[in-house]
Amino acid sequence: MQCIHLHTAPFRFQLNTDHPQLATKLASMYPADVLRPASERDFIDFHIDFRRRWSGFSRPYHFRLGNEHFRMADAHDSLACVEWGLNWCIATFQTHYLCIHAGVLEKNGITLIMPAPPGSGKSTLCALLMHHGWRLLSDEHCLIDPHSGDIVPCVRPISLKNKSIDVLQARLGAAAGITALVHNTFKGTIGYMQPTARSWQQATQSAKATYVVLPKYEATPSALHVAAIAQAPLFMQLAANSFNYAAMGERGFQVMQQLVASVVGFEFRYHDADEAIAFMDTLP
Amino acid sequence: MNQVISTPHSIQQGTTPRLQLLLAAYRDPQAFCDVANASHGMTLWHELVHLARQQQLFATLAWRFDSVLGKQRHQVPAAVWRHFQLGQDLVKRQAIALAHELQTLEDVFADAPYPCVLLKGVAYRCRGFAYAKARVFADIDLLIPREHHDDAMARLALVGVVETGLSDYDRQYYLRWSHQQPPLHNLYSGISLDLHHHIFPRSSRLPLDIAPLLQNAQPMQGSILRLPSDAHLFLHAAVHLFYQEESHKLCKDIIDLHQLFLAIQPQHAELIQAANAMQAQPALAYALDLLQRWMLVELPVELQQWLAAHRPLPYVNWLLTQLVAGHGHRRRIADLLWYLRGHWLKMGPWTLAYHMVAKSWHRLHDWRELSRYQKQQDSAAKPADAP
Repeated sequence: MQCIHLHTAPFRFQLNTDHPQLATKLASMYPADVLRPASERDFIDFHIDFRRRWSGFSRPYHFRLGNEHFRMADAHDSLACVEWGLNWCIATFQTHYLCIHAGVLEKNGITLIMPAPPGSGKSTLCALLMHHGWRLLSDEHCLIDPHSGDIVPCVRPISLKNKSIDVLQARLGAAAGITALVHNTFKGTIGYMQPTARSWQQATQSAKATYVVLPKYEATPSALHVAAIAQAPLFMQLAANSFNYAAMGERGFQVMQQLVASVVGFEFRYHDADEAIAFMDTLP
Repeated sequence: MNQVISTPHSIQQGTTPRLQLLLAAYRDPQAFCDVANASHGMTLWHELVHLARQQQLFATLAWRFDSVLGKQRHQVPAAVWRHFQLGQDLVKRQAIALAHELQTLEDVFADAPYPCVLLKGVAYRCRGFAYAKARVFADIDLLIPREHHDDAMARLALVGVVETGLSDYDRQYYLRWSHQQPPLHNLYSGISLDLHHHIFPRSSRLPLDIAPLLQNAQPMQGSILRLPSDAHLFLHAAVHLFYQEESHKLCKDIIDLHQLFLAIQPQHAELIQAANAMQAQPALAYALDLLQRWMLVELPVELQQWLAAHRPLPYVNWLLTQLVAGHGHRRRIADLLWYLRGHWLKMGPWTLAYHMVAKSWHRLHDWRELSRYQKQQDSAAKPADAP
């Protein structure tokens, strides 16, 4: 049995596993500092079990948090299962932070919260912006501190799917830093892109929320489309994209209201990535 | 249990944390803070959070730390409060949902010519016990005499409270052997309701008599729903704790017992009478013995004398101790014995043998179903082809 620690602020995980390669696989995605053994001064938020259990003749590894079962995985897609499992812990088992399913980036005090359904190109745009000087706060969880209203970073590798892996590799080359590939998952091929050095360095620095962007990639060539969204529909969009808005009850409403009042929201449809990146750099 | 606080030798990286830690924190928050903050860095704290999550005790612990520590609550690290928040939010939402659900039941049974008695967690809340506000409940337990169940279920069905998705075997299990109907669910609110006709399975050999419980249940003010007397609430909690086969909510059940005992303090003599009338003396003896030893409750002389004359069986104590404080093989053996004992009390030998074989088969089947279900869900999901 192996005990792996993941120091990914604001949550620290402990993985108890008998998977022989999991530690090596994680080491290809996370810096050594994130995977260092925990000291007794470190508070571990989630104790996870990722072990072999009998459940028929396939998918022997079960991801569990205490008594809660999340998913089963084969040896080959275990890395993806673990990453999804960590997301599941943050989305489901905490209501301290309001958690919105969104990518978050920051540059010169400007922050972009990008909530979007799968397939809208959120992660790809996130990855592109990150490689153009924006620091990544998260590709998955926009965590809002209920007291300050600030965005708390939750830096982990960006999860890219299928064609977007090729697109980014073609555009950025080796600098893309896609260090781990998992083939044949139910979502297809998943690639994990390393956050930039600056993103890791500032992984505990909160940021003030300024913009909420609802991105949509247009496959057919078209001009950039930007349209403001009023507060009420923006509230509903964010609530629909939040994992724990309902679980937080009245607190969720208050935090969300505070957030919506402090940001400008707009729809953003783009075809040309360079144009999209240039636009974000002009935001006041 | 004192050992937990003074020598937390069990708490090393990689060893399975034990439930005694949870009980120690509940029993004496100040002592727990002292030990946790003095020598062990964060280790005891995150073990506590891990256990409390499993036993659904975030809100209970938050309430306990808050009420005992008061202004000294900062002794509990912020990282711990951050997790307690999950439980605190849950009980708040449950309070709102419960009020709505009870209003529905109020209308459903307004003209029912039979008693409708709330049991367990919901009854503690309705009874107004302070700690119950921080107690998570899994479902609404409603006791109605068996002969009126057809009528009760017909009424419930009209407001969308119906039985859903149980396997044939489990359904038969409830109908043939248990003390309740197969669980009902409100299709609109998602809340579960267990319709009981007894507090212990009909297939059991325990001669528990619930007639006194029904007779003494009093309607809440302005309501048709009734609550058992305090003594009966306590006895039911004791029966539930000591005659069950499960161990995943053990701490919650022990805390229930402790809090109920504190809440009903002046009426201790009634406990003996009620236990005699219900033929629940062993359950009362186990409960008093446990409270005395583990929660350091000082029993009134009358109860002490009664307990001396009704000494509980020592093996039950051994089993519980292993479940709470044991580890490794001992803990696993205790788990198995507790499981067998619980079923044995509920069923008797032949039914038990049949159930063990059938249930093992079905459990295996359940895992495979889960695997199949995941596969099905996955293939239904479209791969997201972002650019």
